[in-house]
Amino acid sequence: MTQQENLTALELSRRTRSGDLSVVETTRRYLAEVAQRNPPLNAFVEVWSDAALTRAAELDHKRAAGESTGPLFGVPIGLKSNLCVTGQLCSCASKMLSNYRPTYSATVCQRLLDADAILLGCTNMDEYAMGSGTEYSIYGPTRNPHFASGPNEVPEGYSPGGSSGGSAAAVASGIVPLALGSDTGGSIRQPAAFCGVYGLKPTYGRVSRFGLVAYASSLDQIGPIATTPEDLELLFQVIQGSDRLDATSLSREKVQQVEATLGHKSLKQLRVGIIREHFEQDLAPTVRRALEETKEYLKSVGATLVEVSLPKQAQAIATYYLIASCEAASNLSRYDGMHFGHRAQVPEKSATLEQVISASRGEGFGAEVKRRIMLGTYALSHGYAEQYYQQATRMRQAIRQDFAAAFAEADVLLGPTTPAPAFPIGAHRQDPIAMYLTDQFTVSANLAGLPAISVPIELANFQPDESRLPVAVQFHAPPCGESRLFSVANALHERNQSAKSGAEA
Amino acid sequence: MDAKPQDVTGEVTMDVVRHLERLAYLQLSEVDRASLVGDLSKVLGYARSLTRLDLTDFEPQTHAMDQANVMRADEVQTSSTLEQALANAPQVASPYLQVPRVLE
Amino acid sequence: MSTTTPSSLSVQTIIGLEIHVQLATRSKLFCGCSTRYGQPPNTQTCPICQGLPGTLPVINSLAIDLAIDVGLALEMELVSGCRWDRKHYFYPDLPKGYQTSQYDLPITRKGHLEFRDPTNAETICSVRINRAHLEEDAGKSLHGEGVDGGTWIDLNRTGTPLLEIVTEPDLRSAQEAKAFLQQLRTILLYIGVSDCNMQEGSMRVDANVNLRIDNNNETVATPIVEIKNLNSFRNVERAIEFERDRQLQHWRATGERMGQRPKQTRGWDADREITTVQREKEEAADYRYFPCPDLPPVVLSVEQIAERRRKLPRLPQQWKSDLISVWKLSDYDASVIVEQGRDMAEYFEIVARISQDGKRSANWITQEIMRLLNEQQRAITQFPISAQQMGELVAAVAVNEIDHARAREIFALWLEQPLSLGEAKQRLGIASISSDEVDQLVADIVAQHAAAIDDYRQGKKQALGPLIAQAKKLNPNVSPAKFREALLRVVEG
Repeated sequence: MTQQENLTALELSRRTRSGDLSVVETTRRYLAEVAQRNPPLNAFVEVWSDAALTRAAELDHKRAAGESTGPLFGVPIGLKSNLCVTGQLCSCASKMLSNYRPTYSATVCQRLLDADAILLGCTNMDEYAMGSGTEYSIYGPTRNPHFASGPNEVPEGYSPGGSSGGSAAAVASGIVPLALGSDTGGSIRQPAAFCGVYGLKPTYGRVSRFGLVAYASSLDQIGPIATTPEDLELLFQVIQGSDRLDATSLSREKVQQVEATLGHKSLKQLRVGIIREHFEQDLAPTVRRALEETKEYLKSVGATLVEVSLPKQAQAIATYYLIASCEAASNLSRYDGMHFGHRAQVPEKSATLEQVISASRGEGFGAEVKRRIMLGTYALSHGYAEQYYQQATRMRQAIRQDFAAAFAEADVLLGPTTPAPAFPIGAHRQDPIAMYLTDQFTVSANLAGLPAISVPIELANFQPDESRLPVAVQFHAPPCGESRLFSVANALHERNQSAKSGAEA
Repeated sequence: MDAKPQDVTGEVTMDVVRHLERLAYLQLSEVDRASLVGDLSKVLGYARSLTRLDLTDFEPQTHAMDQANVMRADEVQTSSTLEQALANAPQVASPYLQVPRVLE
Repeated sequence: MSTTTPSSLSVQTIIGLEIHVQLATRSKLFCGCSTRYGQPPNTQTCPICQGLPGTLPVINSLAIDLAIDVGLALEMELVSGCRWDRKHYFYPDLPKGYQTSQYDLPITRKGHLEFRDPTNAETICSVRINRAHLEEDAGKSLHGEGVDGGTWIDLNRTGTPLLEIVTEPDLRSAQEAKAFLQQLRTILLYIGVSDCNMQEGSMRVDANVNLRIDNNNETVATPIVEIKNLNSFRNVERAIEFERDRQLQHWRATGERMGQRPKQTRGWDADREITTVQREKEEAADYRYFPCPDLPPVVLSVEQIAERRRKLPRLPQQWKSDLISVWKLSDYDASVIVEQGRDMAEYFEIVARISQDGKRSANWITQEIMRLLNEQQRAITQFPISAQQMGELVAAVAVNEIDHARAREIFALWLEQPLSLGEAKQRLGIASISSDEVDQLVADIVAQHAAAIDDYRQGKKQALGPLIAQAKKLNPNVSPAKFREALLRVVEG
C-alpha cells in the first residue's frame, strides 16, 4: 500500500472528503492490506469486508450528493473484540463467546459510524481483557510488528503487550491508522508502548462504556490508539462525551466545568511532576534513557520539572488486582451458558443445573480468567470481603488522595509506561505475579480515574548491544486534563520526528 | 459440604479452592486446582501487606468518580423483537429460552 | 396470640413478613422496557434486561420517588446516599448471575405500621418495619415444559422494580399477619405506589415462621421456616396456620430447636393445603454482596423529600378523619368507605361535595352501590354511574326535589343507560308539581274518601297512610311529604 502506507487518519479523511480518494477504493486497499499483512501478526481476528464495503459505498454516495461529512470520513478503524457492533462477532477472545454476535451496538461504535468511519474488523486481545500480552486468546498470540519476522534471537517474536495488543499491533504495522482498545489497568498504554504508538486511557466517565464487555466496571475505559497525537485526539473527540446509557459517564457540564478550572497551559507554563516512586524502580536502560531524554527535552522547551511523591505506589498492584478480580468475578457471573454463550454438553437427564452451569463456565473460560474469578470470589466471600475487597477500596481512596496532592504541585506527572520494552512471547506464562508487575506503573491511573497517555520516544541513539524495541513514557493528568496530555504528546512528537531524521541522517 | 476457607493468613488449600469452585459455579480440572492452590497463595501472599495496613482513615472508594443521582425518567422504550431476544440463546423453544431441567 | 394446650404448654407463633411489592412504574427499574403484565413471552426485554455483555443499568427515577412515598407513609427513616449492591446467585431466570438490590444502605428503614387487632376491634396493633429496599425482579421459569423436561424461560418480568418491605418478627398469629397485610395493601393503594394485584404477582409475601414454646418454665424456640411466594391473603393465613401446627407436631416428635437445623425454605401447596420443603441450606448462602460499580449512589435531598411529602396522596387514616370531620360521617361509615380503597373514597367525596349531604351520600354508597359492586364483583371505577351523576341525584333528594322512591327509579335506570338527570326524569315522567295541583289532589282525595277522613278525625292517625298511597297512584310526581302537609291543613283546618 505504498500510496496510503504513511497516511494518518487526518490526512486520509482530508483526501477522501475532498474526493481525491474514493472511499470504496481506499477500503478495498486496506482490506487487501489486512489480508496480506495480518496472518503473521494475528492482529485482526475477523475482518468485516462486506459491511465495510457497503458502508464505503454509502459514504462515496454521501459525498457525491454533497451531504456533510463526519470527522472520520472514510477512515478504517480496528475495534478490540470486546466492543459490540450489531450482528458482528464480539468474542472477547474467549471460547465462552466464540460465536456471540450482539443485537446492539456500543455507544462508541455508533459514534464512529456517525462520524463516517469504516469499522474494518475486530482485533485480538487477552481473553476478557485479562492479561498483559495478548497471549491468553483462543486465537493464539498476536505478534509485535517490531521484529515480528526476520532473524532474531526470539523465535516466537515479541509480545505486543496487552490486553489491547491486537489493536496496537494493527496500528503499529500500518494495517489501520486508528484502533480502539480498552484500558482497565494499562491495557491500552502498555501495548501502545510495546508497539511504539500513542495510546490514551481517558478520564473515567469521559467515554461511555455502554457496549464494552465489562471486565472491571469501575476501572474500564475505552480509548484510542494512533500513530500521531493529532490522530489520537481526533479519535478521542469522536468517542468522548456524555451518554445517558452509562450512569457513570460524566455530564458535559461537569466536564466543561472541570476543564475551565484546569485552564490552558503552554509548555513554558507547565509544571511536570517527576514521580519519585516510579523513577526509583528497576527500569530497563532504554526506558530510563527515554525518561531522561524526555526530561531534557521538556526542560529545553521551558517546562518546569518538580519532583512529586505518590507514597502508596507500592500497594497499587495488589489494590488493583483485588478490586479488578472482585469486579470481574461479579461481571462474569452472567456467563452461565443459559442465555447466551457456550453451554457445555452434559447428559441432561442426570445433570443438575449447577453441573451444567459449572461445566459451561469451566469449559468456556481460559486459565487466566478462571484465576481472576477465583481470586475475586475469594476476596468477596463471607469473612474475607472486609479484609480484602474493602481494604483494597480504602487503599484506592488513599492512592487517589496521593494523586490529588501531587497535582497541587504539578500539572502533569511523568514516569515510565512499563519497566521494560516488549518481552518475548511466552516469557511470563509461568508466573502471574511477574506478568502483573508489568502493569505496575499503569494501574494507578485506573484506580484514581485519571487520564494517562503513553508516548513513544525515539531515542537519540542506541548502544550497540541494546534492544531496538520501542520505548515509551507515560504522562498522567488530573481528571478531564486530556488536553494537557495531547499538548505534551504533540511536543514530544515533533521531537521524535527530528530525532528520527537525525538518526536516519 | 466442603470446608469453608478457615484461615485468615492467605494460605490457600485445596479445600479452599474446592469451596470457591462451588461458590463461583466454575468446574476445574485437577490440574487447574493444583495450579490455583499455588497461584492464589502467591497472589494473596503478595496482597498480605495491604491487608495488614490500618486504613480506617480512608473511606472505601467503590466507584471511580464521586457521582450521585444519575437517573432516567420513567419512559418506555422499544424492546427487542422476539427474534433478537432469542438470537444468542444456546437452546430455544420459541417463544422461550430453554434451559436444562431444574432439579431442586 | 398464645394457645394453652392440654399438656400445659404455652405456644406462641412468631411471624415476620417480607413483602415484595411491584412499583407502579411504566418502565423497568434499569431499562426502558415496559412493565405491562401479560404480554407474549420474551417480547418485553432488551439487551439490558437480557443481561447481554456490555450493557449497563440506569436507575428509573420514579422508582426512587415511589420508594420515598412508602417511606413517608410508613414513617420510616429515609437514607440519603443509599447504595446498590449485587447479590450473586446462579439461576436461569436471573440473566446477569446477580440481582441488583440494596444491602447495607437501603433507601428506607425503621418504620412502623398500625392496624386493628382482628380479634378485638378496640385494640390497635403496631408492627415495626425493619427496612424497605429497591431491587429488580427475576424472570419466570416454566418447569418441565420443554423436551426432556427442560425449563422454559420468559424474561419479560426481569428487571421490574420491586420494593421489598421487611417487618420485624412482631406478628403473633395468622390472623394478625393477614390484618397487617390488608392494612399495608390499603396504604400502598392509597398512595398509588403499586396496584398490589396479588393474582398478577405485584404483591408477593414470604413469611418467616417459628414457635416459642413455654414448657415447664423453659422457653424453647423452633427452627425458623421461610414460606415463599404466598400470593393471596388467604394463602398467607392458611400457610401460617398449617406451619404452626406442623412445627408444634414436629417439635413434639423430635424436640428440635432453633440452631439444631438450618433455616428451611418451604412452599405452600394451595391445593393440598400443606407446606413442602423447597430447599434446606446446609450453610448460610454466601451471596458475595458487593456495591454495583455501574450505579452511582442515590443521594436524597431535603427538598426532594419535602416535595414528595407535599405531593403524597392522603393516607387512609387521614381520609377517614376527613370524612368524619368534614362530612359528619359516623366512624363506622367512614371506615367502611375508606377500606374500599382510594377510588371509593374519592367517589364519595365528589358525591358529597356536589350534594352537600355527606350522610345521604354515604347511605347511597354503602347501601346501594356497594351492594351492587359486591354482587357483580366489580370495582367502583367500573361502576356505570359517575360520581357527578350520583351527586346531582343525591342533591335533588336532599332538597326534596325528588323523593327517595323516585330517586331509586332513576338510579335503576342509570344502571342500564347513560342518561342525564333531566333525561332520566323525562323518561320516567318525573316533573315537579305546583301547590295548586297538590291542593286539587287533596280536594279530590277528601271528596272520595270521606270515611277515612272521619276515622282520622276520631283519632285513627294511621288512616291517612292509604290516602297518601292513593294520591301517589293518581300522580306519581307528588311528594308524599308535601301531600301529607296539604292534606292535614284541610283535614285539621
